[in-house]
Amino acid sequence: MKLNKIFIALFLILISTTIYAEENYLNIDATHFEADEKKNLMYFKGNVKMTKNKDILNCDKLYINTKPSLSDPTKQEPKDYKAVGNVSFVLYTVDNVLRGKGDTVLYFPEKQKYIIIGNGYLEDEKDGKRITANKIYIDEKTGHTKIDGQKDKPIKFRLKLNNTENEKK
Amino acid sequence: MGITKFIYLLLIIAIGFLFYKQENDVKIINSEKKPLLVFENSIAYDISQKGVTKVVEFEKTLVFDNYEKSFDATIVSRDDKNSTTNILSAKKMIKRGDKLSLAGNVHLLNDEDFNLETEELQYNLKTQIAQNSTNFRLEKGDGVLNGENLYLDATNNNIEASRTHFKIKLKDLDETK
Repeated sequence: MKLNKIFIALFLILISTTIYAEENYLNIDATHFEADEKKNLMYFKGNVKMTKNKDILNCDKLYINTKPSLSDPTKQEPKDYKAVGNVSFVLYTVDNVLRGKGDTVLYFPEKQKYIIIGNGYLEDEKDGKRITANKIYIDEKTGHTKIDGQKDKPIKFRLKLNNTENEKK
Repeated sequence: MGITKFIYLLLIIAIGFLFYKQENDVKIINSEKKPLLVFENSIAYDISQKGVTKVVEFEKTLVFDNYEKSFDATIVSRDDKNSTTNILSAKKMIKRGDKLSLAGNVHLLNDEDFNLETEELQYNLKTQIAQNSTNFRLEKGDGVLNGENLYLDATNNNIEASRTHFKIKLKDLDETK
């Protein structure tokens, strides 16, 4: 019995370490790849699919600017991301799921900020909010969202009211 | 009587030829010329005024007029311009001038900067450009690139490939958050 418990404990440790190890990886699939180390640039083109844990981003082109790693300056790490063309994403935050679309999406990992530019759309699964705007700023840290419209394209904001109606009844 | 015997003899010979199995021997014509030199289990050194610039270790090398064919070979070369060391190994290597055609378990290690694994590779010792048309695995820093049709310019640090899967460790990135 004791041996069984030890084996189960070891198995659980192994699984947890495997899951933890996978969490630290970013995966990108594309039909074409280019990298220019002198320009600190990586470029992915064609059916680009970027995943990290459950987060997914699909687009036509993806540019990643890199910088020397803090722990090891000989190694490069992503500085910012620019997804262009038919961009769509699903982002899992601590207590919410965000679904977005746009012509271009910028992501700054250090600031944990996203900017959707052009035909921006953002859906908040938790509160049922839907935003349509030319520019949408998302702050992952604070959870704040800022929106900018255009003269010919006003901002649309839709909120799910099902819960409040039920409460009234 | 003599004529009859002669005719019978001809008949027997003709029947004999009918049942004679001619061996269909096809001689393989070896287009490859004989090597000028053959080295086995050897190590060759390139020595300049600055010291040893290249070490080539191989199980067998055949030296022909305008090319060399090596088996189970490893080349360790030092680039003074970039002060980097390249380690190149393969089951089979054909060297024509600066151009190398490598096949079977090909490894290219560039001074711990990148590590390339593939089954087929064209490599230029002078320009340090590596190209292939098969699957490859390239480790660089914390990233791993798998794909096909690699173009790698080790001097200018340019990489191109198709049907790629790129994986990078984000440990440092998470620490900064």
